[in-house]
Amino acid sequence: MDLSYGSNMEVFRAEVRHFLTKRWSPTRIAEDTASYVRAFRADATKAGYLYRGVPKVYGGSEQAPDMLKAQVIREEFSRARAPSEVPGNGTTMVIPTLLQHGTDWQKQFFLPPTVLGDFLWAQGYSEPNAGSDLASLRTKGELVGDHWVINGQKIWTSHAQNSHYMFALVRTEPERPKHSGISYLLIDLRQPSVAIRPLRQMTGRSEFCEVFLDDVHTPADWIVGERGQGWSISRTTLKHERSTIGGSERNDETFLKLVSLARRRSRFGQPAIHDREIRQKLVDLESWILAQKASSYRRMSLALDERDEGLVGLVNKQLTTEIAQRVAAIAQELIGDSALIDPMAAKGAKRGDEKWLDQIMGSLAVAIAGGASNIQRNIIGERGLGLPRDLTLERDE
Amino acid sequence: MHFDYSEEHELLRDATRGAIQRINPLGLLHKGALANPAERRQLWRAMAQQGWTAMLLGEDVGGAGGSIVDAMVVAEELGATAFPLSFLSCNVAALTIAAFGSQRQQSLLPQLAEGTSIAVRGLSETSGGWEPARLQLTLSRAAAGSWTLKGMARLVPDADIADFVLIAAQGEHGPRQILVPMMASGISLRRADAMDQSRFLFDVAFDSVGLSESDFLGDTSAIATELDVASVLLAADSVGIARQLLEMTVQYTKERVAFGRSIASFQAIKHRAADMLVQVEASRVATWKAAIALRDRLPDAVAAASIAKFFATSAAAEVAGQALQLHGGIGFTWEHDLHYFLKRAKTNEVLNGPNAWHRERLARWLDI
Repeated sequence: MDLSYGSNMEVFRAEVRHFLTKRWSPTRIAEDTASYVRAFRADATKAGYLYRGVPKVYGGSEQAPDMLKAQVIREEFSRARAPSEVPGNGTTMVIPTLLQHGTDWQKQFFLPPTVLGDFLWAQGYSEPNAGSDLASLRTKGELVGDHWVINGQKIWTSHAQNSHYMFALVRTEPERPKHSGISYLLIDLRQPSVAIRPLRQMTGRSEFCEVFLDDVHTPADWIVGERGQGWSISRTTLKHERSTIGGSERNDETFLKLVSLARRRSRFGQPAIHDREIRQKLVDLESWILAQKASSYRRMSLALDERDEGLVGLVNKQLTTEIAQRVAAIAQELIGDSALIDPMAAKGAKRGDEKWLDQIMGSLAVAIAGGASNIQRNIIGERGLGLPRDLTLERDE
Repeated sequence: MHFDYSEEHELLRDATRGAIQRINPLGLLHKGALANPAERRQLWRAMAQQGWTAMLLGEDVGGAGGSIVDAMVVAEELGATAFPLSFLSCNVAALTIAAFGSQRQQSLLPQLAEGTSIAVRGLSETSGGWEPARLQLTLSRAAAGSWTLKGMARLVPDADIADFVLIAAQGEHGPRQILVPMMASGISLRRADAMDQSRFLFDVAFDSVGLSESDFLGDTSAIATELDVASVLLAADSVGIARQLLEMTVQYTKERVAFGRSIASFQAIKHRAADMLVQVEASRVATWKAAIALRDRLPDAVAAASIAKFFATSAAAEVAGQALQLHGGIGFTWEHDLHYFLKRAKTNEVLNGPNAWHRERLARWLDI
């Protein structure tokens, strides 16, 4: 049993650090952040640190898969606060999907701009009547001549208002049963028949949208995989989504911010950090953070051994939710009266401790987004522990 | 990077399980067979035969030559079967003697390995904490080269069959560790009315027990190391308990029929079982991490050990509560085995320093 990465990796780590010291100087980016970041990403890709799984012909660095190297890169980039791949669905979902299932022209057309961040993607999965029960989705797609004609509505589509394209699950085979009637289509959002309406969240922000599709056209060959295969194709990507939401990267930072907050604020006439109850809650939180970190290592170790990860990924997502809720509970205790202030009222640096309300309210969403906790619990219970499935009126094919 | 059982660990785990099955500890507890000290001494020999009494001792003294990780593997299996003799206590005692004992004390080691001599370590102080300044046992100088020991060591496992007990006492210049021979005059024992029916715990009173220099070994630093080793083994015990409770719950809820179906098919049951699994797996990896940190002397070993202790023991107590809920009325009966595990889980929360103390220890380590 061993947690070390090995001496080869420590040599590699030094190389990565050296690269970052030379090429990432945030103090110099006052003039044009966007182009500095773009140039840095290009450098980092050329050096083999980013887009390692993407062939060079599509703009990636085409490196032999190496989980430990990838982990070291993640750690070092995070430590240096350097940007890694373009954040969002393009990197986490579209790229792996097209690499696995896309046709050559689809890869040639979509991958390079996605790698560069010039194409931004929205995920068109959930619908008002299809969230946890996604396979019951109703958005229809009909092949008319050389185009798909799509009608329906998507919801909770994060950042659709800023996206160029959407990858969507669409029902194209009405006579086939539930899961096998769905296809995976790519849609250009910049057409009049697409109406994007940002939805206002509890926090006051509008990060996700409704997307209305009213006789939207997309070329016939913008389908990924075969007709009716959309569900299994999307399973690959949803697996990726669950793993990224379950990640343990930002927790340490959050913990330190919470400690800072506790030092600043008072409780019963002394700095909250000296309050026994707060201290116990903080260390309890830290223990969950470290347990999740350990569980992430376990997951990595299983992947390195090419063994089935079983439930570890699902367990990790539950741990992430647990952590978010504990952070919220402590923050709520610490911010006192600031909890009465609208976190959207002031902007940027003028915001006081009410900015913690974003996290506090957001923690309520973590248990819903990317696979609702109770659905996850069902999966853990049924697939993990072998407990009998729910009774249902439908037959799943 | 291999954060999982090695093949050797899997073999060790399987061999341990097989040996425990043959011993059938719960069967022995049911029969009340172990109330008799002679029976427990015999069981102790069986333990020794498996190498369990000297896992951390070198092969040169008859030990298994194992690491804390190996001991952890065994500890989990013993927790999962509510094993009545204290693996933790004797291994910590043996380790301490090997590391800090005089030559004369170290000559005991082969006998500890064979199980012909028994040394146990007390895991609780009456003050409820482990601050050296608050040790309840006191030493005072009698004449040159001799001391007297006064006070009570509480909840010492298997003290009635032990030949030696390792305790910490407040000396004139700070805490000292002492390997007290149980034959010394002034020692009296009383079986503690412990809630935990799976263990044999004793309050040991020292009424001006005479000691000489040759009885001493180790000091504060030794105490801290033992604390960490004990924390990891106790955490592993709790992981085993939690794992077993989950398994019992899954089996029971699958079999139990209500409202025309197996109650395991109800979502409330499935969700609670899923939460229990998360607790088991989280405390498992926290314990693994602590064992590695201690074995490899990583800089965060102290923190990892305390985390494993409070995290795994709280988790097991929570899992026990859930298991009871899911078993319903039958789980609350004496006849059902669940209570052995639940009580053991709750006791683990308090042994080796209460969880609040371990949390505070972590807080200081984190510098908050």
